[in-house]
Order: sequence, then structure tokens, then C-alpha cells
Amino acid sequence: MQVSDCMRTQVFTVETGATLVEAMRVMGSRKVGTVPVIDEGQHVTGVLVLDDLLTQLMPKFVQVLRSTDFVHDYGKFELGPYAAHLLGKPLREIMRPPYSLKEDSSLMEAMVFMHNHQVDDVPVVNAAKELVGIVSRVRVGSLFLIDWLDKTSE
Amino acid sequence: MTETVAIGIFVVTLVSIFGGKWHRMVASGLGASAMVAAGLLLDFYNEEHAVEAIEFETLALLMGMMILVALLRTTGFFEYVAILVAQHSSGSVIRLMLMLGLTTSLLSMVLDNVTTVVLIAPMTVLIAEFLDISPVPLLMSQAIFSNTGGMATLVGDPPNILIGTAAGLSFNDFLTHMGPIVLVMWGSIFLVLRYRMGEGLRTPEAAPQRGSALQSLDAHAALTDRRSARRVLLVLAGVIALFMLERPLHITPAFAALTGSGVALAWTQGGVHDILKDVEWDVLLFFTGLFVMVGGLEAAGVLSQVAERLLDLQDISPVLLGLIVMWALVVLSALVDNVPVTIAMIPVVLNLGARGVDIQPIWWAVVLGTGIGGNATPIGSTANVVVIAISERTDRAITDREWLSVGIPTVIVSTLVASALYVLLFDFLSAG
Repeated sequence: MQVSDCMRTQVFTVETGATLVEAMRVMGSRKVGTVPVIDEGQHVTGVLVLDDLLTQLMPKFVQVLRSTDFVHDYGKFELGPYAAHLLGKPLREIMRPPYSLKEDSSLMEAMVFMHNHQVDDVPVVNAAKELVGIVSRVRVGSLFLIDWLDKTSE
Repeated sequence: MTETVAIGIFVVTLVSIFGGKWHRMVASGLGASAMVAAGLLLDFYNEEHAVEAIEFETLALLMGMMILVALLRTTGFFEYVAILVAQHSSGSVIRLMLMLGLTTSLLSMVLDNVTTVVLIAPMTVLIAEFLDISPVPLLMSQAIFSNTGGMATLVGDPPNILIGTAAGLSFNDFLTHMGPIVLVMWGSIFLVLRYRMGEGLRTPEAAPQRGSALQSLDAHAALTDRRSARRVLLVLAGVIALFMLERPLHITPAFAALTGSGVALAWTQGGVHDILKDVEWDVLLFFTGLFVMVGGLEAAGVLSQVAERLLDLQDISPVLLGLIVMWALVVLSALVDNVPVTIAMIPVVLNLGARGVDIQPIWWAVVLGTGIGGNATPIGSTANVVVIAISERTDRAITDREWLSVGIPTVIVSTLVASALYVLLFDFLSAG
């Protein structure tokens, strides 16, 4: 079993020149948590991750406190417009540096990669480093579990 | 020759700590090695002397207090206190600065300044966001109040621990001699901050409604480990009681702090491994390196020469000598870390004492000088550095300019206040 056995081949992407707002629209309308940023040659030049955007939209105290369990009412933080300055930032500043798995990577390799880099979705590229799909932790993990159960209970 | 080499090593180390390229612990460690190496080559200092130069009592007192603080910080006690204080400020920014400042000062009197601001500053960011005000004035005032409060007690500030151990000044000596001066200084600093940060402290019109948002914070939920908090606080109270009974019981503060930390560890069943991780070993090693280096300076005869020079000023009155020491230290500790300054100053004062000068009032001048100077610059004290680092994680980073515009007037006014009180209370400060 390898990554190409469970990847989704329909990938929602934006081009390197896109604005942050365009990328957010793709993310919002397609309901995806990770949008690869690609150049004309289909090479991954960066990755926009939903979590990074949400972190920017959260109150700053969340970043500096160990725990916020004592905050029960986020009142004003839930009403927009808040952190509107985010819209003015270039995509480049918010996206992560490019990362990807190869389509023939093993499931274990993918799991370890996701664990080490704390990511849930990873773009998949072919030998020419062109984007061919994307795998999620759930897709890799569930296929791995089924495979493991089959082999172990034989 | 030996003097020049020893001074050279010390100055290079201070400069590299100031430059911030190396961690200060690394700088002091390398400096200590260089000093011993030079001592061996030029035959003025060796490893045995180096070990003798280390003040283990100071290190033990620091470590004991660090363990107690480490046990307290995980209980959520600081968050609990900050929420209660914020809820009683009813949305007024000035009141918030006053009450958070008082809290920070009081906590810093007993606990390490850095820990106090590390735990209170993030809560300040939260409070400021709830009120929709800039956290910057509050954050700066907290670092300054933390440094100021620390001056009042033996364990409030690392320089005080150093001076107290070397001079044999007790917890009570500090509280009775420095307490009143710090109290007056505190009031004057509050007025300076209020004046200098006028705009930033204005309460926004919508703040009263926003203040009610603060009421929604659940202080009790912040106190995540109520039982341990109560136990550590009880032990801490016991340790302070022992500090106060130091003379009648013939014990040292280091003994009290270490015993307290042992009892607290046993009573709270805290995970020793995790707690020890929170002890600031780099600080303890930094001190050790400095002790070794200053031991070399002393062995090379540098520090007795400084004392000699000061004595050449024979004709000057003891009051003026104290003031000169205080002002020189204000300037020095604004520019460099006040810990090396204090460690180097102690043998100088002891040398003066050996030559027949009444050094009791000079110790207090050292306490005031090293304590006040740290407020002037962004790097003057570790509390300042920490607060600035926290502000950098929000939208409003504190700039150097911003700090200096508040820090320098604060230091000028507090030096003037401290000098006036020093002169007025000179007879009291000279009495044992």
C-alpha cells in the first residue's frame, strides 16, 4: 500500500500570484483545510493551512497563555470585524514553506511525516515534482488500519 | 599585568553579555574559565580559589525559592489573582494599572521578578484585549513595578540575595530599611508613569460595558489545582516566617528556603522531574560563573584597589560616598546586567569595611542603585526583556524608544526620591 492508493486526486489549489482573500475563498467554499499554492508548472511553492488563518483570527492572549479554560464568554471576539488587518497581508506571509510526499511513499512514511510536522493534509507529487493529489491523516490512517487488521487477523 | 588581564577578561565578558550574542550563562562560563586559566598562567588564581569564591549560600537560597515558585506556577494561582484584580478594577485603565502594579509588586517582594511577570503579563494581554485597550502601558508598568517591589525584601531580587548573604543583612533588615523607601518610591513611580503614559491610560468610552465582559471570566476555573496552591502558599508563609526569625533561631535564609522547597515537594507530591525543569539552572550557572570571575578579580588585587581609590576620596562625608555609590550603580545597572555589577561591588564594599569605613549605609546604597537602574532600558532587567518578548507575540510590540521614554524619567525620579530619603534617613540606615 502506498500514498497513491488513498490520495484524493481532485486538489483545490491557488496560484502563486493569488491574493490571500482568493485563497481563503477557495478554502471556505470547498470546505478544505489545506490549499497547496502552485506555480504554472504544477510545482508546490507553499501550503496555506486553515489552522494558521484561524490562529491569526483568535485573540492574542490565546498565544501567550498556557490555558484559557477560565474564559467562558468570548463575546466581542466572536463579532466581526476583528483582526481585519489580516486581509491586507500577502499570501506569501501566511503560507507555509512547501512540503509534500511522493506518490510512491509508504503509508507509514506518510503517517510519520504528518506526526513529525503536525499537519493533517499533505500534497502528493510525482517524480517530476508536479502536484498529483493530496492525502489526509484520516485517509492514510483508515487505509493503514484496515490493512493492518486484515494482515494481523489472517 | 595581572590586574590588566583580570579586568580585561571581566570587561570582555560584560560586553558580550550586553551584546546578547551569547547567552549570559555561556558568557559567564567562558569568562570564568578564562579567568582561572589566566590565574594559573600568571599565578594569581587557581581552581581551589575558584571553588572557594562561589557563594553556595546564595545559590541555595535562589534554588529553594525557584522550586517553590515552580510548584506554585502550575496551580493557576497567578491567573486566579490577576482575574480577581481585573474584575475589581471596573474597567478603569488607571485603576487597572494601579491594582495590577500593586499585585505585581507584592508578588515580586516574595517571588522572583521574572516569574511574576512571566505569569502576570499574559493575563494582562488578555485583560487589555477584553477592554480593547493597548496592553503596552500596563506591560511596561508591570516590569517596572516588579523591579521596584523586589527591592524591598531580601528575596525579592537577585542583587538583594547577593548583598544580604554577603553583608549578613536579614529579611527584617531589608523590610524595615528598604520597605519605607520603596513605598515612597513606588508612589512617585506611579505618578511618573501616569504622567508619561497619559494617552495610553485613558479609559475608552465603551470600557464600562467591556468591563462587564471581564466579569464573565471564571477565576475559580483558573485555579486548576486548588489543593496544591493552598499547600505551597502555606509553605511559603512558613518560609517567610523563618526568614523573619533568622536571628533568634540562628538559621540562614538558604536553610529556610531549601527546607521549604523540600516540604512543599513532599506535600504536593509534585512531579520532581517537571518541577526541576522549571528551575532556572541557567541563572544559577550564570551566578556561579560570575562568582568565579569576580574571585579572580579579587585575587588579582583589582577590587581592593577600587576600594583604595574610593578611600582616597577620604574627605568626602559618608553620606556623599553612599550617594556616589548609588548613582554610579544606577548608571551601570541601566547599561549592563545588575547581577555581575553587584557581585563585583560586594568585595569592594567589604574592602572598604576592612579599612574601617562604616559600610552599613553603603550596602543600602548598593541595593537602591542596582535596583533602580534596571528600569531605565529595555535590557536593564530580565523582567523588562520578558515583558517585551511577550508584547512581541501580540499586535503591539514595545519599541526601545517607547521603553526609554518611560524608563529614563522613572529612573531619574526614583533616584532623586531615593537619594533624598537616603540623606534624610542616613542615621537610621547606618544603625545595624
